[in-house]
Amino acid sequence: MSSWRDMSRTVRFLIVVPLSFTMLVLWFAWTAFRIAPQMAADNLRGGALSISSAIQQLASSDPAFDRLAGYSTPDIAYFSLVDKNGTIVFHTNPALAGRKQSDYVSFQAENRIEEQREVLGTGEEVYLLKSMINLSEEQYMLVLALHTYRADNLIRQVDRAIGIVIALTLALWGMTIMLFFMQKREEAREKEMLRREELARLGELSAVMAHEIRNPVAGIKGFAQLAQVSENIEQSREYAGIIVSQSIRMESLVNDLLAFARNDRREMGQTDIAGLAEDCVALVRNEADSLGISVRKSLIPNVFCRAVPEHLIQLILNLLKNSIQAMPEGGEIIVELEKIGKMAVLRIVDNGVGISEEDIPHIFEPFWTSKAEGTGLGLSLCQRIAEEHGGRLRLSSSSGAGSVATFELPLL
Amino acid sequence: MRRIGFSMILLMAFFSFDPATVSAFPVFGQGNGENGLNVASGFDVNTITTLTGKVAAPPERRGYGQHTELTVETTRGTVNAMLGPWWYWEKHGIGISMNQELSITGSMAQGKNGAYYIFVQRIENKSSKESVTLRLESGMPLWSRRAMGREGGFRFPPNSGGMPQQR
Repeated sequence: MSSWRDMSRTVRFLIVVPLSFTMLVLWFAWTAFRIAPQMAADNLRGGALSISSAIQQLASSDPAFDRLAGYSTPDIAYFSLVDKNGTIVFHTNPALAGRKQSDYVSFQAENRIEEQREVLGTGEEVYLLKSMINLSEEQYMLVLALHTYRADNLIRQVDRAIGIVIALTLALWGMTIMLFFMQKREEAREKEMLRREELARLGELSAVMAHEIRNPVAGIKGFAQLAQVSENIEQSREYAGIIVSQSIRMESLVNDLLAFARNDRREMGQTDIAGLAEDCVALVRNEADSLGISVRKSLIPNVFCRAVPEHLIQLILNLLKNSIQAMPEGGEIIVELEKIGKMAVLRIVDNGVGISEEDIPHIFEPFWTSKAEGTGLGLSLCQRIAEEHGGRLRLSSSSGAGSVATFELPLL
Repeated sequence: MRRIGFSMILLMAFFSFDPATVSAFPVFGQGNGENGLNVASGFDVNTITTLTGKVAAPPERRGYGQHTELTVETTRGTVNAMLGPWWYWEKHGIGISMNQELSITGSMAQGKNGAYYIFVQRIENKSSKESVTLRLESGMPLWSRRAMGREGGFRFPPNSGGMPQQR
């Protein structure tokens, strides 16, 4: 059962649709196959009883049975009349008249109608009806054999239809199996590509770790050694300050890596996006003020979405920090929130240095950064958070003209 | 997935080989050739009748050259007359060509292809006044070993008339 759950939706669709169709076809084929012979038998019985009645009338009106000799229909293979002594008094093959019919006595005793299919010496299967008829107050057994071709035509047509439907079903299965294997091959190819991508990312990660951690560690080590031998307390403080700032840089890198690598699926709840945006602006305001950056807000209230608030705060803070870092000599950040259709749209607009045209396609790639000290994980993390919430993150920018980050999220 | 595939194969195998359902698949055999009749030795005294008609197709080898068959147009429609093995007809048959008037006595049957067949007991070419008997009244073919022991077939010259006499 678990393997069923493991299958992709396409594979399940590929199995369920033809399987349902096949069941329907088999049900149709089975029903038609069961009904057709019964209908053919009913047709034959009806025809045989009509012909029996005609024979009875002809025989009643002509006791010498001369008129019977001239009676024929395309369906009659032969017929005969047997008297109470078991003697054939009439047969469509006159040479058989006067012979004995062996089963007459037992048949007469039960006074019944008997029908069966019988194979003649020619190899033809005929429908045989034996019945008692009254002629001039005497009982005779009528043996009537009919060709079955016309009645069996219905069975042949049904057989043909079933054959065609089954052939089409088999063709459908052939195509399904082919599609299934193609799908499997595609999945295997995608898995392999994913594995390769992960290996490549691991390589990148290792390179980043080596570069981003080794350098601060080397700095920390160097300044710690200098502080160890320094006799000047002021200089030692300066070294300690550098050690602390490098440690903070490493801590930030580790936090980013952990956030990027996290795989927690927290429960989403009703979240006020305007409130989150307010909080985030409050968190960066001091840093912005110190750099001469004004932050302006235009937030409509009561914008509720399903979200994990901590993750959205991380997203908005990252975007705000990116904007602040893009304006080292001051500027303005505008934070806007509005509703467009069924989406909440949060825009963070800055008039910073912007991003060059050739860098735009890479900004969401993990470990790609245009900054000297960035980890390259911020925007890719933001994009992943947006997608996890069923939303979208876009960034438009041009060199020297600032950037606009647009985050869209479905409304509740 | 493997279990589902296996179930499907079993289901299809069941529908393919169940004797009750086998006729639903036309690819499986339906007996002796296209007409389903016993071409080699078929005959039934119950269906003996006499037909007259014109030759629509003269005698020719059918069924991988094993038997002889001709076609006549009768008042009952087109009937294929089964004349027995080719080698026997070659030796004992009479001359029959297109549009000649024939009188044929034999056992009638309808094939699974819907066509009518007559397993000939006696055939008379009314145009040439030739006739030949191919079976005894019981239906035993004269080319069979038992009948061959008694008779090598009857052939009558023109105007001899009457039924063949058994010796």
